[in-house]
Amino acid sequence: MAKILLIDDDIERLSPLIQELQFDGIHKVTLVPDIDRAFEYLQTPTPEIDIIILDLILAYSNKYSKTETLDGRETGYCLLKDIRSGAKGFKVNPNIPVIVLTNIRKDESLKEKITEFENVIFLEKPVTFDQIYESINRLLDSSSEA
Amino acid sequence: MGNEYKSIDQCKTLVDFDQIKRLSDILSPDVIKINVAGFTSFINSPIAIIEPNSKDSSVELYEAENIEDFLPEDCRKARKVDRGNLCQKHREAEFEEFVSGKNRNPARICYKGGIHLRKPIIVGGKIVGLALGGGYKVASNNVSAEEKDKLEKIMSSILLDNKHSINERDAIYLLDRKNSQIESQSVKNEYTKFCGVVEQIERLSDGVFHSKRLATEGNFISDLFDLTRLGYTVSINEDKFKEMLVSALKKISYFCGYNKSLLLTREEKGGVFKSMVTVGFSEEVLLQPDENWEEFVKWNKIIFIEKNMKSLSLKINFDFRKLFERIKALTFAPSANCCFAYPISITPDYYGIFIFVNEFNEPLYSLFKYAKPFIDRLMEHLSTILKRYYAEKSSKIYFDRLSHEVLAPLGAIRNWAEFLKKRFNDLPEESKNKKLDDLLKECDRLVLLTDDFKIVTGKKEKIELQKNKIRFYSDIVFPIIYLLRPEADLKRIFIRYGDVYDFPELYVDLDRVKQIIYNIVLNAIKYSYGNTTIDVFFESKPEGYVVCIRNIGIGIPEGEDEIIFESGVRGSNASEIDARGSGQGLTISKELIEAHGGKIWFERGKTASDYKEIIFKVLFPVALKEDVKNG
Repeated sequence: MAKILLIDDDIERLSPLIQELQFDGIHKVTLVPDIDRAFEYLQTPTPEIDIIILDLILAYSNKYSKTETLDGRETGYCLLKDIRSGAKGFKVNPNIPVIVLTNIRKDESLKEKITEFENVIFLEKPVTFDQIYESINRLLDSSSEA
Repeated sequence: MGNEYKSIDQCKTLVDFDQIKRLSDILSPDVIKINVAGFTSFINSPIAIIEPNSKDSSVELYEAENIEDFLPEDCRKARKVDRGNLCQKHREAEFEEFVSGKNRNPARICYKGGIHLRKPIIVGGKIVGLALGGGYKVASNNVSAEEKDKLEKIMSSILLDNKHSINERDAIYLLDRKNSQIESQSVKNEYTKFCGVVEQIERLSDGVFHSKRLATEGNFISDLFDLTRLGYTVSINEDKFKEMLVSALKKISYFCGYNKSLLLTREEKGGVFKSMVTVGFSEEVLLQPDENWEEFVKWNKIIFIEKNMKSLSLKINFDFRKLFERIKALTFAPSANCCFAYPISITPDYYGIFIFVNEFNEPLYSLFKYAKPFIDRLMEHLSTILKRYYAEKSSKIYFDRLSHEVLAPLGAIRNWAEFLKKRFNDLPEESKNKKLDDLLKECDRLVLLTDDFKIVTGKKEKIELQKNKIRFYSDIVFPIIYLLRPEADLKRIFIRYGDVYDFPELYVDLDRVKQIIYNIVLNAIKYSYGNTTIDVFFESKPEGYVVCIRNIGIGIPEGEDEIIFESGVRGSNASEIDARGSGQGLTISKELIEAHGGKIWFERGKTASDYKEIIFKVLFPVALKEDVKNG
């Protein structure tokens, strides 16, 4: 069972995915519906998570600027950068596996930018359960090997 | 030659400080690393790199009396008239190297010698400006070796030290040194260059800006913007700033040259600041004020210094070079042996070209006389390219948002179906029904969204209404709140709709009105703060019935009252709280209510700190009630 941190502001629509992931205790999902609470969670002394599922398009609140997030279109990318660099006082392991979800489709340069980071899988919505399970397993396997 | 300054009053009329301020807002942050420096001679690179965090700062210093010694070999051997072009090629090659990442050393992309590095100068912990000019060695034997060494060290510390700082003791030394008598012309020249830095230090030391050279003033203004764009907080004394600008204008007014470039802007009809033309001079170019000043002023509005950039051509993949070659050939050849031009930034509304003219020996007026038709054509061309570029860019953003809007419910539908297929037998009956309800709800929302697209894509056609008698509460408000309840619940938003029960029956197109109200309530939820209440109520007015939807949240920025209803536009603060949305909801609502003969608008209510109350109002004309009787 993996402990998953899900950062997405469209939680209602992720409900089936969450229910599936938690069905029969397969995984444990912690929901974080906005960037403020994501910061709060990641800054806690020992955030108990094995993997993060992160939506790319998020409201940037007062954490990032409109320009750097491209008007919210890449807030998830900004957060990922900060997680990897250990900035903003995040206590989470900087190399934690991350699945980035996006509704922006067929944008190769975006995909390239995201997957430049290690331990990251980039998935376009809508995602199937199989895609999610496979990605979780792959990331967790590779991080346990490392 | 009339070498008198224009009066301060004359100059003041030329300064529009609001426009200058606005300029700082529109400068693109992605160009901060490339800037065009001032010209101290035509061999120097016009490109300087601002890299406050750069760690690689090795600079090849020069030491020679003859400026020609600093030319690259092929330039040195070439005829004087050809040198400019050759140097230009070198600059371009170096620039390309920089852009492509082959050579990121800011020092090495410039020539040996006239190195135009700009780095922040920090005195006493405060950034007072950017260092400019070369990492000099003093090129004269008239200065003692000890003194040369001292000066070089100071300059190096300004230009090359990773900390980009100069200590106060050195600053005082420079000030002292500047005041001493210097006999040698070449040393004087060197010191004149130092003065640019020294004077910036002076600003800190006594708080008064003593400018003796336009170059310094121009660079100071430039530095302010550079620093701002680099994210530094720069506080200036506005009166001093204005005084300085006026002082600069006085000098511009008789065109002393000073190896500087000027930025000239043209004002289009209606006083809108639209475009900029920068003209750079390497040699003294004099305007004959009596003869030409009025015409010059009439044609231009002097605003500002030069700005970059070539990166626009890289961004929009357009070969400006060919265009500029033509301009060069046709415009300046008769009177100058070298010229080049680059596009300057920026947005569809703010753009310009940078034109550098070397050894232009005629009055400035002549330059404009020759150049104007070509500059006009170039500006037109630029405008077309920029509009196309930004249209493509915004349409990409728009379609990204649109696909986000569609894929969100589609993804949920897919996942619900997948979940039910996989877990159907394991779920209790009640749960199955609940999940099927959720699935249907998403389908309904997708249908509403599809209706939106129909209106967006076919909005030039008249909207056909299929009117029926409807009850506002049961046919409109209740189903919408049912659909949006989960979204409201997530933010703990309570939707209150007390007196809507009393809303009269109307004769309207049910689906269209549902869309109108759905879009507004959805927006109200999106842009409300959590734990607030949204009120849906109505007002009876002589002209009709007004449905009001009030929320408390981020509000709508002042000045966006009209554009908020435009297609694809979201409030400039929208993504701060909700990054989703295609910016179509209000446009569609407006079109649909207008098709019913009504109107939509919003009013600002109470404001407390960041909490802003917005009340959207939709007027259903009284005739729609009359239609019920007639229908």
